[in-house]
Amino acid sequence: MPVVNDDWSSPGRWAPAKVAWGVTRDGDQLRFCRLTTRGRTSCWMVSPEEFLAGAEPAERLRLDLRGGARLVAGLPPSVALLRTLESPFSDPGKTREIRDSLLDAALPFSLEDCVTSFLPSQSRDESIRLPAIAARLADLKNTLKTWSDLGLDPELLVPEALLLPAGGNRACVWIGEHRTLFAREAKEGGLVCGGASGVARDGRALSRFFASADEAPEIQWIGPGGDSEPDFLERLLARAGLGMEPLGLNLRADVLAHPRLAKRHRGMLRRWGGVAAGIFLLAAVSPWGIRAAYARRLAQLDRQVAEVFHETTGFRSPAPGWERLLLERHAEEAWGAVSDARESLVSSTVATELADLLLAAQFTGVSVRSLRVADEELAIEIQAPEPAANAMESRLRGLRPGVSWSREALEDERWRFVAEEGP
Amino acid sequence: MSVFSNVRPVWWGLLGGALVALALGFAFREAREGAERLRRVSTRLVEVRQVADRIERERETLRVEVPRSAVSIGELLDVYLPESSFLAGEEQSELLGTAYRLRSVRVKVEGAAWDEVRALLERAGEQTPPWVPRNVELRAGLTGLEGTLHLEALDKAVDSP
Repeated sequence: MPVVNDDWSSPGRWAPAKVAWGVTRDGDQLRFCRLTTRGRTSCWMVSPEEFLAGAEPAERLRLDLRGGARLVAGLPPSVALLRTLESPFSDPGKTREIRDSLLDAALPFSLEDCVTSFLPSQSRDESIRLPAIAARLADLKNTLKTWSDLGLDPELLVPEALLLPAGGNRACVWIGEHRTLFAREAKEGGLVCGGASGVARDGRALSRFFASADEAPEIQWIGPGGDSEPDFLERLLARAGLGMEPLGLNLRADVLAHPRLAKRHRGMLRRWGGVAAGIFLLAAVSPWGIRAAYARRLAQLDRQVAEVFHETTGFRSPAPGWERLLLERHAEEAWGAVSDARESLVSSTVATELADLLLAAQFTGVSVRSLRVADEELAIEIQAPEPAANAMESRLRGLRPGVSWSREALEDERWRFVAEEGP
Repeated sequence: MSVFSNVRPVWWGLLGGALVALALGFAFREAREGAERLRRVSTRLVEVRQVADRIERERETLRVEVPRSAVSIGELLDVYLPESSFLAGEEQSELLGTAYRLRSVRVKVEGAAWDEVRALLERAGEQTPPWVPRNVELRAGLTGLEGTLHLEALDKAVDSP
């Protein structure tokens, strides 16, 4: 049982057309309407014989169809049955699971032989009303054969009665040259619609239709035999072809689909599949790509570290990641003792201090009896009268800031000066 | 085909959005962790370069300051102060690393004048590499200064050709 899905119920969303033709049979007449997206409308009524003979608008329709126009044919109520299903569940998901069984029970023929389409549901307190359209596959094929005999191959087949603007207490009756369509909203909700072969306003079918209503509805008579809008039906069919009708009502789908639309549908699925695959690849690949890019940069930096290490030490790093520590150890082992010795010699002040002491002794005129100069030790012993010793002490204090001198008096005018740390 | 066609576009959009969000999430995490790894390795490279530069500076300093072996104090006394009262003791040598050594010598002073001591220290300090006094112990004796001078020098263990 083919169920018309959202894609096929309104192909205008994914296969838009700029020009659409609506066509319907009215007895032995064909009613055409041409509609463009800019709103230009042209309508014709011809007999099948005239149409086959090439009368207007046959040639124009042929040219438009070659240019990509969409042809939409109406399905009479005798082919497309409307049923309003009552689901015992208020949950749309559960209703979706049982809707086929409900529809099967509501149809006079097997559901397996039908093409069905479900319209938007109406939620009630504890149930859901679900309008559904069903048409037998054989009837649809016969319809297509009928159009094919006229050289036409409509892309969409739309139930005509569903196009009638009925709602509230208002009923709509379309009266053609040879047949009638009618629709009204049922009291308990949902649409009631039907058709008849006559055009009399007081015909039996119409009388029964109105009598079934609880209260007399307000009736709108439209169509060529009505009070207004003679081209209403074919114009709305054309509007459905342009995707202007809110409800998607096409029943020519899947196995019955028009080859051109079927091809575009496959292309659309491929495009969406490509987009999905692209997104999936992006999702799957991008983290790895980023990781790979970072890995390349990290490897480059690691190589630079290894090169610096090799240039400095002459051998390869035995433990990548520990180069700094290994270099420190290498420097300490290879150069540490040398650097320490050099530093010690460069910073030695023995020579300077010795020269300073001798200069101070010479300046103050004292006699140096002994001296001891080392890195940690500085002592001088002089022999001089006390005033000269005082001058020597004063001189010594000026030599080294931060160094204090202790002075010890010895026998025979001898004095010992020893440097001590601190002021 | 109809199974996929029955899925509403909004679900496709949500699926695509979720995949993109997932990809962005993973990509962001990889980018953040990668940046952190990059920062660590860059820091390591900078530190290794700093240590290598310091080692190279030390090498260069030693190359300039210690270009060859030092003249021994005995030779220096023979050449510059042949008549002096200095007596160079036995020289000690300590190998530092593979190319340098620390040499030390004690010079005994017996009856020298202050000018002689000054001249010896000046001559020793003018050598390349220089001899540096580390310990000076002198006292006035009957014939002049008496005591010891302890000198050290850092030089190359083997002269470069």
